Amino acid sequence: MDKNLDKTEVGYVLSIRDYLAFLDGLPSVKLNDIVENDQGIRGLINGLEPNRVEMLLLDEGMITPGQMFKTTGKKLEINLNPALLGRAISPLGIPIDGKRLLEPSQNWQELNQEPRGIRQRKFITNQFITGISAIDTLIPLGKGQRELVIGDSHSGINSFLMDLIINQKDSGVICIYACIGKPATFIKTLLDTLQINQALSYTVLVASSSTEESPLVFLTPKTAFTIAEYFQGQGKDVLVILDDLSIHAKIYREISLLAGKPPGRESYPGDIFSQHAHLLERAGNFNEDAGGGSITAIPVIETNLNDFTTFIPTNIMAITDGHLLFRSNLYNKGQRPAVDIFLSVSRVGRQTQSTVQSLLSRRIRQILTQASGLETVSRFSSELPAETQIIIKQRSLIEEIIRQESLIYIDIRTQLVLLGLVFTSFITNKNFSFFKQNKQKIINNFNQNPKLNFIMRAIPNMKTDDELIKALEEVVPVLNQIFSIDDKGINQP
Amino acid sequence: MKKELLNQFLSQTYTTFQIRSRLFFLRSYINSNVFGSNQGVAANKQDQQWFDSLPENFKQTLSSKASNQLLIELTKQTEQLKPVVLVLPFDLPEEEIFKLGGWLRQIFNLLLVYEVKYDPSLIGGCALIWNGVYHDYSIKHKIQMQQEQLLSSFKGFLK
Repeated sequence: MDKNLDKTEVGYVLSIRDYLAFLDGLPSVKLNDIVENDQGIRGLINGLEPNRVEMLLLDEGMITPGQMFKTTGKKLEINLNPALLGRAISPLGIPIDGKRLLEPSQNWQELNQEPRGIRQRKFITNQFITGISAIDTLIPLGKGQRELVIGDSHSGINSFLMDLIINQKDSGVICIYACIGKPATFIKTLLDTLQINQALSYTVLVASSSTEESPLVFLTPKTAFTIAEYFQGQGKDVLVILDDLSIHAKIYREISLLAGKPPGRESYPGDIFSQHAHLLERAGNFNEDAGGGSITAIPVIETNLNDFTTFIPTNIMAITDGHLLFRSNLYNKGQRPAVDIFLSVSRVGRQTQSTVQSLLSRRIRQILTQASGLETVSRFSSELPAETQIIIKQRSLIEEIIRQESLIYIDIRTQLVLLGLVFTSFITNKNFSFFKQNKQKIINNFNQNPKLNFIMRAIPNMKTDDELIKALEEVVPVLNQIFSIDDKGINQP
Repeated sequence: MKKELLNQFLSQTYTTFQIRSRLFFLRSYINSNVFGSNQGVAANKQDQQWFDSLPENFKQTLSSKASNQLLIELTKQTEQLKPVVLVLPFDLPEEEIFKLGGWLRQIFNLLLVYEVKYDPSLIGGCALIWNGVYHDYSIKHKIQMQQEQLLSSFKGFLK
């Protein structure tokens, strides 16, 4: 309001459709401005037409035609301060976890920020360690990458996302989980799980439940990114999980159809791609000009019957730097995480891996691909050549090693050692059930046994996977002694 | 032609409430006299006086077969009028409404209509809204602008 001239701009409600109102007047209002009526009910300007203004209601209340809304001179903002860590808040920044109110700081930031340009970004060089063997070795993520997680319900996505956050303990990574239109019970369970696993102290939960009004659900990911940018600006690495964007797309479709915008494919508005791209572009790896730090984005899409060829999943796949495809049939077979390694992609993760890791990963993929091709032959042939048998055996061992239950963290060196063992003579006379029973014992020995743990210390200095495999081959007698293997072998299939 | 009809319609009609009332009157007149409705003409005293003051050619048009079209046209044109909204802390008597309307048209030389809203919290003065801009000339606003000065001078009395 211009106090000198004692005037402010006003508009009157022309018509109302649920949470969407059209106003006249407000001659110089801009998109994303906040207007307010006498009762304190706020509205967000969502569209500008020649004769009227489209407004989304942010607060609950009774709106009637003819009511007056005044401009406030403000955009939609959220208060940012370190006290957000460990809290669950609504998209408007109000705590929803039943604890005390947040002390406001001087730092207010608009929700609708423009993504940073090229000059403020730098190459993605650091690996985002998830502590999950299948991901870190075969489908690696980089800090600043956008990686889509896509799959059916009951394909283990939720426990994977939990592990992503819980495994960041002591890593200095700040986690922000955006629950977009999820049931209130899900949000409560999530909060409790994080608390029990002591992951809440470095996590912010931004949640809008399925019973909330659509404008709030629509704003949830923007709030999450605004908070992420605050912490990233302090030089920290941030993980943002958007669970899930398919609900966000449906909400945006609902708002657009209500506003009378022409529907496009699958009735989504024409700018749905732009909305999601604009959002996900806020992630990245940033240079010192932008505060350093990085924002790694994990958007989630829940599919129906594993169909990832529909409009929204393909859109997000085009925007992101790769995708992890979760399959419910793999989950039902007991594979954890239930990631389809062949159909999952990480476009920028490889450059963040060390040489040893990268070469070992390539070797493993070759084995898995070869074994996949030989699988049909192996079912029909009674006698297979020795090389084929080795490949199939290595495949089963690899699958057992990368199988990892929830809430277990395996560091990179341990992953390399376990997977390197597959290419040594240690696997002679051993099958997958041996590794299933003794995996933890192997890990403990490599960490604690003085005859073995020197390999763990030597890994950062190794140049190739052959070097690692050779070093492991030299300690096979020690391992055999530990597991008391005789010539006939133990743990027969 | 359209503008002339609108001018005739808006003679002695200054507020949006009066416009709606006049249009309702015209509708019931047309229904009664042209379409033979049994419901009679709904009229209050002011609307009747206004109708009596209208020129003959306007009344003749109302009695013809083109009356319905005339009414639709008038409704459209009046909807396009942008009223000045006056926010007052008191109730304005009927005579004052006419005086104010006439004065506004004389000053601005425009076919202005206005709307009165009541907000006692203004205390005194008025606020007006024109073209989406709210101009606040009320006592309440003046007090808010000088709140700190007033409070500090009151505090001086407490000592």
